[in-house]
Amino acid sequence: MVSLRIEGLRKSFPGVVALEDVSLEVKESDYVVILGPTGAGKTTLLRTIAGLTKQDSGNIYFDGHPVDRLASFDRGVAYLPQNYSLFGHMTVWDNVAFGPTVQDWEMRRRDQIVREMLNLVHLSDRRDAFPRELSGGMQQRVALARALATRARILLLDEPLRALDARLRMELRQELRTLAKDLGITTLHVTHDQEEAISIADQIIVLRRGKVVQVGSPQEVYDTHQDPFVANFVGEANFFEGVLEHSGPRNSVVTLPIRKQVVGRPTDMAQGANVVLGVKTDRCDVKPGHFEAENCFPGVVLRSLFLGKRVTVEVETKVGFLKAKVPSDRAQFASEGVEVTLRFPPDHAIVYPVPVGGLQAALEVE
Amino acid sequence: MVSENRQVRGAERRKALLAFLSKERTIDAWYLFVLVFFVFLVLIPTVFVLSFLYTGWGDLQTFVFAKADVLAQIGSAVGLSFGVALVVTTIDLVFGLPLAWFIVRRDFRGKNLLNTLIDSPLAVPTAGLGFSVALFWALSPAVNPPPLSLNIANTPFVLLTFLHFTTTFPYMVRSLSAILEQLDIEYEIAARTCGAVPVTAARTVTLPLFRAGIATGAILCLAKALSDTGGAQAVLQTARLFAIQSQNCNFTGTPSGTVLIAAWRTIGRACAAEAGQLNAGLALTAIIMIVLSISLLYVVNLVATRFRFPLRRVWPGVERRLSYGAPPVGRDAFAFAFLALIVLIPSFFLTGYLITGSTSLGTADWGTFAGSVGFSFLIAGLATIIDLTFGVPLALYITRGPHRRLGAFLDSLVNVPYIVPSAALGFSLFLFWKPLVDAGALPVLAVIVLAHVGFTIPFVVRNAVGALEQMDPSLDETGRTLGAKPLQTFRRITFPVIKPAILAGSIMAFTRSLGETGATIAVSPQAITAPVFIVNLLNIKTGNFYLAALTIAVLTIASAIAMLGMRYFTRGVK
Repeated sequence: MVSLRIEGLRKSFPGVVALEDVSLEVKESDYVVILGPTGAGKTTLLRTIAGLTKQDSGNIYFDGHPVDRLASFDRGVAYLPQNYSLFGHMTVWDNVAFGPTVQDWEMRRRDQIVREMLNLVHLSDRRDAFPRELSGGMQQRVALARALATRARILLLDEPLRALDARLRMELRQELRTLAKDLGITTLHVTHDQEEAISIADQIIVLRRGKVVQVGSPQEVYDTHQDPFVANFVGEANFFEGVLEHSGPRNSVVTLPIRKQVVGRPTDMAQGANVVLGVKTDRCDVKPGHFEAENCFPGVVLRSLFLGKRVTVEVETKVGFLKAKVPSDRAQFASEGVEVTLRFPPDHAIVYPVPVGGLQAALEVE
Repeated sequence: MVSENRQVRGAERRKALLAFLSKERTIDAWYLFVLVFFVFLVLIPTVFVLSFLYTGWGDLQTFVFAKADVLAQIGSAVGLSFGVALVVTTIDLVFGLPLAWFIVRRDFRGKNLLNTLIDSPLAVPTAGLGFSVALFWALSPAVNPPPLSLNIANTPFVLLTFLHFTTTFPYMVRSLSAILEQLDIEYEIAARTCGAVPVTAARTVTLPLFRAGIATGAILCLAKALSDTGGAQAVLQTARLFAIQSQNCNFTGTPSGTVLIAAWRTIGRACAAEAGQLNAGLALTAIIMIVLSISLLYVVNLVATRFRFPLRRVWPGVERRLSYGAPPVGRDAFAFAFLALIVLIPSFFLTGYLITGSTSLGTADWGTFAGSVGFSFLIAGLATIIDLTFGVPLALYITRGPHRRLGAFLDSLVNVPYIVPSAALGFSLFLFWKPLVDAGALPVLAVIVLAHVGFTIPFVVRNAVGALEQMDPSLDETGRTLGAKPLQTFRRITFPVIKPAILAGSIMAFTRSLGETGATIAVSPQAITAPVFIVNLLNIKTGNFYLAALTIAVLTIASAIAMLGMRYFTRGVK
């Protein structure tokens, strides 16, 4: 299977820049998830790699060979669009056999691969059905089998689980990853669902408004967020705006407008700079009663949202609304109106420069 | 061993051919060829007659502008055409709207039958509709009319108006229904839940969303009424309001614009001395009709899309009373009465004549009868084949081509030969190809076929474009990523999906060509297609009207079979 490298990809449509200087590298057989909100440019990126959209500038390499001059049908890329695009006038068998048929494979070899693929996705018994007779999950599997039957070198999945209900989504995403790994095929999986991304990716590439914001393992992207947007998009975060008081080798101190200080991870920004301190809500904790200590914010519980294993407690404090996501068995005291103190360890608080355009704009998802 | 080698070499040659055909440059060349064909063989010849203003200015001065009577003839003919077209379209709208509303919004048994009934006049060639309408409404001294004929209309304007109700009403109802069906009834329901009575909701919410349907319907009706030659000629001749007298190099009575063109062409064949005079008059008439019809349609489009419906004022009391009880029932009743008495019965009235008038058959020219029918089928067949060969690639270019704006422009250009009155189109082509035809390098049949291609290719292109636009574009793209070259994508993915639409378009093209009179005469008065045979028979005082009726019947049955076939093929395909 094949490695993928993209350098400086740029693509504009009238009135909007879809991709701006996008560069990334995918190792062979890696399962990479491209995560981002709507309009981030994820679909444009996939289409450019597949050769369906021509980039304005930049290069794409498969295994070190440039493919920019190759037409779609010569690139050997399997592209699965959002709505599956199954050929309605053909049966499941004919759909899956389409790639090998138009590429003029020898008949026996072709039939063999079709059978193999249908087995792989557990649809051998529906080979004579038409797409309209199948459920959403089955259609998705047919589309997958069809894409894989061409023995493509790279698999591009455009929000493959979007149309499925939540339960099915959880089951199928693992199946997708297992399938790709078994075949050793290099995969780019696009989604806006961060839980999906974290659970199946080898690497996550966070895309926002056409730019790559962060690249890293799920752990890195989750815990070592390099950007307020990533902090709030992957999971949820509390933010504090203030002035960097001082930064040392072990921590940094930020003074908030209310004259309170918070402590976070070290940073190399200059003293006196305007900064934002962000901490994930599930790194925050709530304790009954009011008390003052490092990184503690006394307040009153506004409401408590039960999520099953965990509870999101919304607290009204002197610095505004803060949220903490805590295990439900430890938060039974935190009902509406109760006095609590929210706190977080400095190790998980990250300091950033104030984003250009303001914090609110930087967190916007649209 | 040897055969295996041959198989391998054959497969390799196929592969090489496919690779060559899929090269971007080959595809570009093919599109260029189709484009050039359309522009140079269809579009330019259609408007070629406009150049006569420059090249034939001298002739125009001498033969037309200097002669008040000729100018008067042209003026009154063109005025008659446009007046009738406007009146007919307006009334069509008044009765068509409630009818379309009734059909789309209500569910009832026999809806299919009603739809078929409304479309049925389209199966009759317009010359036949002219004959039938004249039998019903007018005093026709030469014909023993069947029982129940009314004989109340005797002026050209009124008679032509009654004729064009039958030629245009189906188009109006179809256009309105098509758009109404697409309109989400949810909007109207939302308005009703806010407290609006049905009439108010329809007027303020649905109707404005409806403009496209009204514009399309109006344009189709106007174009049809302006363009029709055979029907007008037939109705006027049968009612003895018009007759061509080739021996006197003149005609009697009042023709419409396109009938004037047909008349002068027919006379010109017999009276060679008057050729210069007649050609100048023909050219001017054709030019005026082309320019006016294109302008009129542009204006209609503008008005329909810009017209500001009165939305601010609401008259709750009046509109409530109009929404329930007697008024809506009365309105629907009137619409159905219009359909039955003014459209359907006059269209098929000649059946009565066929049954009762067989004694007047006498000695019939069966040879010409059979020949004319065969000739019509030949021309229609050739035109349809050319329509498909060039229309489908044209549609592909418009929808999937690399230059979208050029595609949209092309889309509007394709409608030009359809909007231009077919007799004017025919005469323009006649002038354009005259040098080649006179030199014997081009057979007249080719020019006739090209003329028919002009006004039928829009059916194929419009249908194909519609189907292609409705089709999910990602289907093509997915095929490409799976390794299918452009030709393979078209053959295996696109074509199966658009096949029903193409079939429907080609059937519409075929039946339209079968019924055409004006263009055929304008290109060559000697070409006796079936509709030409009919109007020739109706021209003579002692003409064999019964034979004409038989010819009409044959064409109608052929068209009806084709239309029913089309219904069958497109059934269940949205």
